[in-house]
Amino acid sequence: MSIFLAQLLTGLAYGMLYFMIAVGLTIILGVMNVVNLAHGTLFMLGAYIAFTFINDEVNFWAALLLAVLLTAVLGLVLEKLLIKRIYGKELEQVLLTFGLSFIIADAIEWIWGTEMHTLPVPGLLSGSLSIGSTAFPLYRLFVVFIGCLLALLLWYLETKTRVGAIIRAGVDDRAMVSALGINVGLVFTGVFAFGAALAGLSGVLGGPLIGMYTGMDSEILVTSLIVVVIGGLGSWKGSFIGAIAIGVIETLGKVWFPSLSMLTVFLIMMIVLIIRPQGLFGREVA
Amino acid sequence: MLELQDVHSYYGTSYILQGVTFSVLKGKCVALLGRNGAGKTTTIHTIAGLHKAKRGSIRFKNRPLESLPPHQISRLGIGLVPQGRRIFPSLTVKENLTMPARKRKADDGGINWDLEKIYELFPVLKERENNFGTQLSGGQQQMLAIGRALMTNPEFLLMDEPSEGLAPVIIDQIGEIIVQLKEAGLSILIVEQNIALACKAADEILIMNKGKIVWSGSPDGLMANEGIQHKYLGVSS
Repeated sequence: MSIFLAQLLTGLAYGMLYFMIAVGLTIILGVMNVVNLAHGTLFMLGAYIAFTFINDEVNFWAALLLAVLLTAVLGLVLEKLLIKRIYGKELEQVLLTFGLSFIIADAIEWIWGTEMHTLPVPGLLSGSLSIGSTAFPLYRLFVVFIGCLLALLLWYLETKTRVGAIIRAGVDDRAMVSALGINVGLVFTGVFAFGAALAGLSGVLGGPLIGMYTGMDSEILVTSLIVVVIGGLGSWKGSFIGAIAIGVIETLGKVWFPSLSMLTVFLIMMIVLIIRPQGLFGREVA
Repeated sequence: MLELQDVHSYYGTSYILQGVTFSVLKGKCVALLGRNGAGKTTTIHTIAGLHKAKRGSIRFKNRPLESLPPHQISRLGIGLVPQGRRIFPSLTVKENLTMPARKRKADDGGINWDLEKIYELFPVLKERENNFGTQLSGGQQQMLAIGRALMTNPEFLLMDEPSEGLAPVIIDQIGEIIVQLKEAGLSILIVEQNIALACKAADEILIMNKGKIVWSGSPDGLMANEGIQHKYLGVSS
């Protein structure tokens, strides 16, 4: 039992990381109709940026903040310089974002090399919490807490703020929003930078758990695309539920059916798509 | 206040506006009539910046609009009540109104529209403020579309077929609202199929056919001219 609970926590922590990255992907998709295939690379970049700062004796939290800021700035620059030019052109978007992911991944390899790294667990959270006979690592609890906090923040932004209303209206009818005097281009830039920041955040928070290695960007991208598909395109609630499901099932699957562990996640996606082709929280598409 | 000079516009290869010239004076309501496909909605979209003109000039308060994006045109003081209302279904009635809200810029003693004033004008919207936009009836959606445009505090209102799909009694109500807005100082360009509504609200009537203005005159002039009505508006006598 206690092993199961510990594994469940691990699954939840992974799920929250998937949520943090997938939610950026799904919001960018829902609002701007762009599949950002470089999103996994921004995740990896966030982790490496924090790695550099931590090696320079910067404290974990400051490194986290700097990495999030820098990935947000990179997202902003990418949107302003490149992505802005190809809204509505799907093929170009795929080529551009896929190309960007190669360029950034190669730059990472060039700067940081190909060996595997991990980020240290911050001192404050290095212990564990014992309940009965089960020890729950504090850092994993912390990641779950941050994921829930983010979900709460997104709920608040979406339903209680004017920016949230503008974004929802933009998904409904973009041209009408601009005809009411709102600069939709600016909203897009903000959304893209926000998504990039979340990718950076999850990369840093994932550093002590997943680490950083060549090729992790495409692995994490595929997983988060699966989360987006299961949850429903454009729905952060769907991403939350989908990411938790994937994190838990993947982790438990590795323990219970090691030989099938690669398959479990895809099986879930298949089942969801058969029952609800639009995803758990997706809108019906006519 | 608004001047179009020889405006030409295309959708793909179809030549829609073939040299449109007219103007709307401050505080006046001009109605644009014509059959389906005459180019009325394209005219509205071209003014609002949702569609780009190929040639010609559009000036609002003597500033050229033709190269501006829609949000800047809106911010100059042009409000859009679009065809089909285009209420945001993911927003409540209240959010549909507050989302685009802007304070009045012009210092001309006009009304500064806010949520309270909109609810005064359309009490039914207050009753339904927590409903989602698409849970309203057609008439209520039209009121919401008008209210939403007013919340941007425009000096000029573009209205595209406000009577479309509404019951006659609601059309009368909308007509009264338009007259009221004009009296409050707004300049209005209204596209209509409903001749009675257009003649009730407008100071001047323009008739459009195949992308050109083919007739202009007063509402009385149009009512008296059955030949024009028959030729361009498909009214059988």
